[in-house]
Amino acid sequence: MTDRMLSDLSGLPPDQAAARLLVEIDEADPIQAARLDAWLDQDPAHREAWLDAQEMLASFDFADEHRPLDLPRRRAKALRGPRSVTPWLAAAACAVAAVGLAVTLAPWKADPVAPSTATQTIDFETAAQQRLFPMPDGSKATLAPGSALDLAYTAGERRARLVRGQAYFDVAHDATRPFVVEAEGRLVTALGTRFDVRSDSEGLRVALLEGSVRVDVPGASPAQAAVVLRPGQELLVAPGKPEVVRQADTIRVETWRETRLVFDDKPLSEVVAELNRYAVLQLVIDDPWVAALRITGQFRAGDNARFARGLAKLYPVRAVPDGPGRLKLVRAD
Amino acid sequence: MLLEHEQFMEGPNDPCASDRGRRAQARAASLSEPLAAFFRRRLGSCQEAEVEDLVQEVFVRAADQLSLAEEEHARAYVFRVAASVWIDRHRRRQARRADRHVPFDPDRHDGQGLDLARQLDARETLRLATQALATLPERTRAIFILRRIEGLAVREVAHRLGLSTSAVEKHMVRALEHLLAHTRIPR
Repeated sequence: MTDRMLSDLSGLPPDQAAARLLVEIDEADPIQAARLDAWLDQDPAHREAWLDAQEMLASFDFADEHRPLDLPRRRAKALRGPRSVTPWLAAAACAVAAVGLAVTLAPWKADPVAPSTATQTIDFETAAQQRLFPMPDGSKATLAPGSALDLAYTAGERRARLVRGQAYFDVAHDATRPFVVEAEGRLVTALGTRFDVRSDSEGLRVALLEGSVRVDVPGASPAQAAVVLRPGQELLVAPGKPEVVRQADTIRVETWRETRLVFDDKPLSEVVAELNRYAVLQLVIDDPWVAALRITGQFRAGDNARFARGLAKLYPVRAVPDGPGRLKLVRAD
Repeated sequence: MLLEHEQFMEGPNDPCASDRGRRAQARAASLSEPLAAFFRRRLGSCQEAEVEDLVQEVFVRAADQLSLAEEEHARAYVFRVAASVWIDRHRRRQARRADRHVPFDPDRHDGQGLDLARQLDARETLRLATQALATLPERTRAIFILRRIEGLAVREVAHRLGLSTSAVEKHMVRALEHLLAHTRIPR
């Protein structure tokens, strides 16, 4: 990220320099951010040009209500280049529900303007929340937060690629079109089945809940035989370690998708302690009166902000920020 | 439901959960200053209270991803959230301004080089920008639309159009220069 070449801005009018910085600078990178700040501090006209550019870009937040943009947008979405033939490439669905980014695209299937290839491609992505995605063949995928999945369907194969994160698949049976998931260089092939694939820094895990799957390493020697999983088993592949097939904790594999915690007349302090185990946003209480409130109910684990909002509607408490990643529950007065 | 409840009750000492919590705390501490800088760059100085609120909003929204194992991913994610927090703030302000029918907001005229150009209604800016878009070459126009309106990543636009990512960036720079030149009112 930091080693890319950035253009030389000296001698450019502020407008043009701002245009380059907007495109080239990744503000998440401290070195690039420092470079941007240096430019902004150099001359008030620089900051002015930068703020104007921000304003101009922000005006496109209203693009959905601006009819003259409808046609150019349709044309832009239909445009394809000569070399864009790789099946993964046409992005379609960008689901960013939880973050609420500026634009959510409706998934569109094979582009009617360019039916040159029979491959149907869709990209799915989740941000802070898991999501269930129906697939064109009736199969269903549930993506964990922060996951990305690309689909490429052809007449002979249903192919999904787990780019990152975790996905659960409930596969519609189709003996003529195997369902293949690609993750970390391995191919997981299924017919009708339910299974779960997780790909993270610790490696790959394939857990089978129902049916049968085969896991191959494409191009591997015959000695490196494919692994066939039975229901209830999982395959673990970690860098630098031998592969392991073992009994999966199937309840855990099943429940990550729907985690709810039930409390029956418990003090709020106990409820909060339990909820805090599942969320990064920590709830804190230092008022014994608040801690002693009795709670009965069922709550979604991992969403403490929602819990705090719900609590404030039912009880005389409110949540106030208490430093980064902390919400304090205090008596409402 | 009860079964799930019991299942979670049996592992109260899950060490991973507290590791994640610590990691998230450390991340939040190290990211709050860069995030404040991100908002200061857009708000100008002397808006510290608002900067603090916006940073807080980012942490609340990004809380679940702060503990991602990959430092770089967590950081990139947090800054994506910051971008959307910024967009939402802009929308809220526009909505408020439209409600009040006040074309000039003295709060924003704070002597920090913000001038009348910035008070121009966003819809007028969009009208001018749309006209300017129409005079760009088709490919450059499409690239700007796919990036800014349809929200595709540079990499996705490049694949779709069969271009290199650096070519896509060059088109973006050209589009931005053109739009900036045609949306700026003379002063």
